[in-house]
Amino acid sequence: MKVDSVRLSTPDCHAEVNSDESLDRVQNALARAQAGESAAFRELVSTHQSGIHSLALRMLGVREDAQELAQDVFVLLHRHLSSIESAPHLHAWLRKTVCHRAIDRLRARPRYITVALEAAEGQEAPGQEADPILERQLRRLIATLAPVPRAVVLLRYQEDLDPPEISAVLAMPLNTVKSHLRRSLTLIRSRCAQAAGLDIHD
Amino acid sequence: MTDKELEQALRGALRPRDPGADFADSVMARLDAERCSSRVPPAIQTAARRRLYRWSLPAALAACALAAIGLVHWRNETAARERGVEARAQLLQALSIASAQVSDARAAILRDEGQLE
Repeated sequence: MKVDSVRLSTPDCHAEVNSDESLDRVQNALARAQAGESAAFRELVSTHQSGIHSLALRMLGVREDAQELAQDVFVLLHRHLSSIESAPHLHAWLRKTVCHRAIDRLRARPRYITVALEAAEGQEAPGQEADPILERQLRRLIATLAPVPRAVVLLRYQEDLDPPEISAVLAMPLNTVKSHLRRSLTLIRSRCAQAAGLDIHD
Repeated sequence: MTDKELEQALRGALRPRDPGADFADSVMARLDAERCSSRVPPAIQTAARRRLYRWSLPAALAACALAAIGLVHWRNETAARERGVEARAQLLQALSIASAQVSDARAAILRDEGQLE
């Protein structure tokens, strides 16, 4: 899968970084981690932890489960480190693994557990949300989606992946991805309208 | 709310959140615990296993080829030895016949010489 840019996040910020310098930094850390340097692997974890943990959290909805899944994914990465070819490959591998494992866990649950995602997500730093009520409502609605559509929506709007990239990550046909996206957006839109009584139109 | 506004709101709602500074520590602690239990780091185990898998087929083929060559060589050696033993026996038999014939000829010559005298 071709990935031109990678969304990297540090503990201090969650900004999207597309610069060659950042890719080089991850590439360098990857090479050192593959050579057995533990500090370099820690750097890789720190670089990707926000995105991977957020994906796990929004897929599973339970903070403890998300923490465990995200850690499992990084431990698994350590085992498969020798097979990772590049920084974009690393990022794609992490997203793919966390999504598939989260879907498996959700399917293993007796029913889709709808949880208070706000409690799981914790408090947003003040001033970061444009419309806190709407954003909270959207997160709650996403948490009610079935596992696969939820993964599609998260990959599209959290990870900023295009439908072909989502299709590659989730190993499903492109038309299925587009269909999940369309149906999920329609559902979110209608539920948003019902809940808020807003005039939402196409 | 237009499609664009909804998508914008979704992007805003789904900003990545940092799990906290202790997340990386927890991952490293789990790796250390695994390393202690297995002694050999999993990445190295995987690499060693991959190396083993990569060389096992060529090694098996090479061993089969060597065994086949050895078998053919041993059969050729055995056949040559048997042929040598058989040739030696034939040679000894030929020498013994020739020796008998020479003795007969010598006896005949001596008999003829005796009659002439």
